[in-house]
Amino acid sequence: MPAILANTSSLLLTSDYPNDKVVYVHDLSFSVSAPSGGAYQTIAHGLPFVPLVAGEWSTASDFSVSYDYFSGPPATGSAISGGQLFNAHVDIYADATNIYLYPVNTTGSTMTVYARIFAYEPSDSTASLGATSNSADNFALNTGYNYPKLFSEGIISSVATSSTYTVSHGLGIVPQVMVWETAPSIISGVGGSLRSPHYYMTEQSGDPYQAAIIASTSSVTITTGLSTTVTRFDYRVYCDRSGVL
Amino acid sequence: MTTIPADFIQTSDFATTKQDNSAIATVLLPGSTSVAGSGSVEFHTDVVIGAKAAITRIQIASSKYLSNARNVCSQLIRTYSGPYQAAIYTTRINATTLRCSVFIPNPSAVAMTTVAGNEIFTFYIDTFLPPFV
Repeated sequence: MPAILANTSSLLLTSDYPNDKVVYVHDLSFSVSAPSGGAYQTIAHGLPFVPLVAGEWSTASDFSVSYDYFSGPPATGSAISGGQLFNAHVDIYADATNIYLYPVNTTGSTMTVYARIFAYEPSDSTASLGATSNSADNFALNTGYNYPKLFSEGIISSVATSSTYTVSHGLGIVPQVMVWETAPSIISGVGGSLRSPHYYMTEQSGDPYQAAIIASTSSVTITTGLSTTVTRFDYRVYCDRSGVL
Repeated sequence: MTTIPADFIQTSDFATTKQDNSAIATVLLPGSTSVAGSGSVEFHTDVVIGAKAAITRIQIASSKYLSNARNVCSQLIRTYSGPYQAAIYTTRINATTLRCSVFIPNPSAVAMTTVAGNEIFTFYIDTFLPPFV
């Protein structure tokens, strides 16, 4: 008997929907001068596809304070008057060969970045992949946590400017959503296209920088702007409510 | 995380992310807000959420727009008339506190007043333990 869809977000697990499968795990540290001057880290991932990357970074080896990628410690002093949101941030991108960490350091002093990277498999991959668990205890499923249940995943390719793409879900709740964008590289010295997590958007009166992604109780809509350079979106929509555990 | 064996129901060859918390927070942008020339204002709400080193998924809604829908992003740039923009975003300020902020810089030398009427930004936050924790 299938799970009652309306109640699925209340379940920690259900065999009707898969959980996130992490297919790549890596951590590293490196030093970043101030200003960072466009230097970046290149990590060969060895995967037969462009991964859907995620993770976190910190300036402390124990991750006592950690930041999502494209985020960082709040701006202070002259950084505020300069309109910056962060004193430093680390951005993440991937292509078919490498993962790139692009740090921006305006703290005024050299900082050490401790980075944790993991990745999901895009939905058009048919690869056979090795396990990422090196110790069963590390990745045991535990009833103390919720495991987001993947309702749908997919790809929107051949993306055009000023267009709207709709992913219907009909869940009756506003679900958790993750989206990655593939666009021409903005890293000097790296050619081709890069894939990165969607994190930034303008709203309403402004033309979307790349895309406006709106989640509602019935669908997820992706609206591209006049100058959008995105060529592909990878999306993951979950059965689980956003903001409500 | 408990280490009591009886709590474990499965193990996996592949890592996954574990959701450990969620929250809803609001930040009020008063309609009467004035920003001095070349200055800035910032409003925020701090939320204690998630374990140390938890990562986040954020959705942001505005009381003025899209009342039943949410922007899937952690940094939302609201454009007002002229050169004025508000940044609505989140960042960690310590191990377990997430700051939900509305930040308005004024690049002009002339004081500015935001558009009429209060605006409430609602942050829908989910936190996860990545496969390193």
